[in-house]
Amino acid sequence: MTSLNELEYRNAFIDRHNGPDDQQQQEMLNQINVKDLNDLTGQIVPEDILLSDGLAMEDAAPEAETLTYLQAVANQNEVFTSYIGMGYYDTHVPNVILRNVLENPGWYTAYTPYQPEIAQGRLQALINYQQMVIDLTGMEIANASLLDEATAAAEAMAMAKRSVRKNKSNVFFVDTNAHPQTLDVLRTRAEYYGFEIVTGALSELSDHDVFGALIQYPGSDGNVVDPEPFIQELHRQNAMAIVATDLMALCLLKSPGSMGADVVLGNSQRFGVPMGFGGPHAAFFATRENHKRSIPGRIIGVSKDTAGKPALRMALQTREQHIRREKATSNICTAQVLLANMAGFYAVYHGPEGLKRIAERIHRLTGILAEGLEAKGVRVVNSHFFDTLTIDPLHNLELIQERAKAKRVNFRITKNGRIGLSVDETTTREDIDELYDILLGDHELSVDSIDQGLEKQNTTFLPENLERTDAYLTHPVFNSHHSETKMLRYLKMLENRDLALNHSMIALGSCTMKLNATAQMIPVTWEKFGRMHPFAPSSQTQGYATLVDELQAMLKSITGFDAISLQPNSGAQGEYAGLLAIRKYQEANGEGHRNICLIPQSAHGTNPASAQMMGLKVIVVKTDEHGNVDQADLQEKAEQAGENLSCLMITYPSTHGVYEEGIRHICQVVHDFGGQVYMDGANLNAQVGLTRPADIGADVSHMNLHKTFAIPHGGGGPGMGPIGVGAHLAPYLPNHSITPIEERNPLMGAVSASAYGSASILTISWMYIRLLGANGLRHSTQTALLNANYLVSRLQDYYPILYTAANGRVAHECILDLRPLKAQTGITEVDIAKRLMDYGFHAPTMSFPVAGTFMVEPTESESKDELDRFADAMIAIYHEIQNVGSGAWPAEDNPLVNAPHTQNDLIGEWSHPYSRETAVFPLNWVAENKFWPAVNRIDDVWGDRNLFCACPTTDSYAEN
Amino acid sequence: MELILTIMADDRPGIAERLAREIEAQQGNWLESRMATMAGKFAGIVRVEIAGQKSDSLKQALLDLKADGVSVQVESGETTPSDVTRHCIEVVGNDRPGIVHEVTTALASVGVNVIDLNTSIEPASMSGGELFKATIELGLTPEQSMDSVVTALEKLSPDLMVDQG
Repeated sequence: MTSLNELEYRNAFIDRHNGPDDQQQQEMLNQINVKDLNDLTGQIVPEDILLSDGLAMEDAAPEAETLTYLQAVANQNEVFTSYIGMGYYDTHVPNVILRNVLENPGWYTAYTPYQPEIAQGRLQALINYQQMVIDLTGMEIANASLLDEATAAAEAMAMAKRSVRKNKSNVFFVDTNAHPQTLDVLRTRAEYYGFEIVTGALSELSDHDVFGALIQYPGSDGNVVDPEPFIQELHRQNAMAIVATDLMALCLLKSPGSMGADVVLGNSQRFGVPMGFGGPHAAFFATRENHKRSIPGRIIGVSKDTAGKPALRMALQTREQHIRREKATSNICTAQVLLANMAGFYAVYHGPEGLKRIAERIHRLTGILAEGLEAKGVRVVNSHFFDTLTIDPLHNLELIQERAKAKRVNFRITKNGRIGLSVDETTTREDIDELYDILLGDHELSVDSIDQGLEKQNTTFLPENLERTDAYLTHPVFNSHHSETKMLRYLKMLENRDLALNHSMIALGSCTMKLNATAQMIPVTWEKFGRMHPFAPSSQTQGYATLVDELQAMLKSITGFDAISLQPNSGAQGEYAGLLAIRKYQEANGEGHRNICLIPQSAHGTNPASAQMMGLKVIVVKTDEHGNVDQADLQEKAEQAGENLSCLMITYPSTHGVYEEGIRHICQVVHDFGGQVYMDGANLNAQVGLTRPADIGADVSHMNLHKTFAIPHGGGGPGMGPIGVGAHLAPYLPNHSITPIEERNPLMGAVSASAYGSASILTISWMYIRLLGANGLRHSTQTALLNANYLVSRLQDYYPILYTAANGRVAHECILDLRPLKAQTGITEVDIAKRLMDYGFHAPTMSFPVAGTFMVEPTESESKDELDRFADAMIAIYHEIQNVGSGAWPAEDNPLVNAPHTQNDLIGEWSHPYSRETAVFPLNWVAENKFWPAVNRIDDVWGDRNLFCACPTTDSYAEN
Repeated sequence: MELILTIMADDRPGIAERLAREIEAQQGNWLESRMATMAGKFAGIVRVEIAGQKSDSLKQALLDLKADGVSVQVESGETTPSDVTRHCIEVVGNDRPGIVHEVTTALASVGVNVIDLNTSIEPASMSGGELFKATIELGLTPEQSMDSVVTALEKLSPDLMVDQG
């Protein structure tokens, strides 16, 4: 009889997460001639780094039990009504967007839109977002979002320095009325760029020679000051005027663009994205057309496909780190696509009139609050305001705070004992009444009668010359989908154009597109996690404190490090924070002169880009013919660097997907010369439970929570890149000026706007690790190795596999060499990538780390039948290529060069030398679950030559 | 005096060695060179310093290599005016037909002298497509500015990125 233990099936999630069941696993093991998973692991992972014991954590737990536990943790958070403001505001996430976008795997499991033909839906959503930002800021070009407002400001500062080459000043001026977290991040960033930060009132701006300045509009205290004279002053100095602002305020306020601003940025969170204790949110960034080459981040632009139809894709990629490495405009890789989409949809849903109504309501309620308080003798410090008041409390602050606590209300307390109050979309008239009670005690004020008085006066509290008079969001997309039925269908229409993990495997090398389990996603939208302001008092955020503690403990156990910082908002940010810790540590030891960073040839583009931002000189280390670091070259370069060696940045397993045997020795060489080892955690999914970065010799490593630890890619963000460090580096982990982290060094600044980055999605990784537990994590890693090696065995007779270990094994990914086929037949890797779409697959990583190749990472979550379908597709494509090579199909007219095929291709006359069936149903199972690319192959070159990065007019679609 | 040799031959081992031998035999000095093999052909340019009285005999010896399948053209070198400064730029953009012509036309439009031009085409990582890359060494007179060079190149298309070395 089966035991109760077995019937309880506590390992259920391990079997749900891993694709191949026991039988499939056995078949795959047989196919690759391996006894079992441990045998395979022994063949792949070098013995000297193999973890002897299991991970120090509990084994797998069932979904229901885990969710119940996390719910109890969430309940330790207390959701107070927040008037704190400072860039974060409560909002009503439109339910149609909540359920159909944020909670919908069709949107959240998609990858970055490098394959635009199967990403037209989110590209459309993103260009809507860009158009919204362009309209509201009054600028000419906007990017597809950055990580948060503070890092966006830091990017703007760097861009300013690049853009005003003739201005020799090294000073960047920051408005004292800027959000303090922005100043915190600017200070951190400025140090290694070698910039001097000067803060002061805007009236002092003309006393300084600067290369740029950040103006907050409206100010952090709520005051609305005309930025135009200061913008003009900056232009007199040939300096850049950067305006940090708020989209809701811009619904009523004159746009910074119309006043000459060079860069306009801010947080789009209050457009329908939960506060989430700091993120994830999309920061917006807009500038002038003439700065297009200098913009950081992704930009979506319009091009056309081979049928001449308008089609969208990522524009100007030649700016970015994956092309330009240390010369890139920024180390930014990830955007915040899911959240930018939500903000854009918020504007689509409400439309210009709806947004204006919300903004006016916020402004009116703020006005009513101000009038009432002033009537009772409370001084409102700021003469003008949109939604934020700074007041001198009449009564003693402690009494007010007590009343606020009793009513579960938070507001900002400034250093000089003033109260800051920000009204938002969720504020009601009852809330204003409650605020009177809290701030005044007995008051006898009536919201209604104050409102009537204001209505009669017919005036606002904005400076008259700053009231917005121009129209915005006039494009039809913002004026067509206001009923829920229409909105629902619009969202569905766009979703249908995108291939995401809910359709088929996305085997992107180094991106680890594994299952994002539903149970892991559920807590993200719990109110107890979602409605937390990042600067809420710590007594109310104990649930997050528990989550953070537990997740840090799990990550320590997995990586072997002594301390974890959850602050970095992306892998590239993690690199930055890690290098910062290294440099600070070396400075503290009198070794601040160490400024050389060794980076292997095959590194991710973010590595050299991050090193450059930290003022490090990049020296490239050669890779040998097996794809490993050339040890002799490393030795030589380390020796040459000598006492200037700061660190080595190395990915492990290597970007070639191999566990280098010499890794311990490599770390040793760097340590011998006094350097530190930064391990890029992009491939951590191959290590979990089998080996640990700290044991191998790394001093610091980032963990891409959106790869290894199941945070979905969101169609190009959010991501998270926490870092783990050895004890010696722990004092140099980032801190935060507003919400200091207890165990951190008070002298360290911030790298992100909030102390725990995109805190609300930490729940996903917590759930992932807890559900799998020690046994499940190890099993998953081993399954990832099995899946990759099984694919190798299926494909190696058709495509040469680059960089296998001596025994022919790969780690968790493999590189297919497409160059021989290209040389023989002229069929390119792009042709193959686009042809895969006809088979219903997203292409693997293209031409990285080796040009002319595919890097395939199936992950543990794909079953044998899906792997077989992918292999069958690749093999069928191989035969198609042979048909081109043999001349059976002409080089200029065959299913490969014509791929992808759309439904439009099928109507009308068919003149190709292959059939319609071959075009769209090339294998018998394709028809069963056909994915139709929305457009034909997109002409990137045309799009970049005819740059257009806003919503095309509907006419341009109608013409076709 | 200086001679500039341009060499073309079917690729095979030992061509450079053969050239060096001839130059050494006439006590010439191999100053600098660029060599490449493309599509099975060997091509090279060599700058040689040689005493005036030996130059004719070196020329003859090199022209005689024709019999061995190595064709060499010999021109007298001119030294560049001393007020020209050398600058290096790197250009990257999407590849497209005619891009080299566009780039060289843009450089000619501002009247700068191209000293060295290396171009390559390689697949772009992640999104695919072909990238055009060029490393260009320019000679600028005091009246000419790098800004005008960058502006002329950037006018070609928004994706063209110019880095000053």
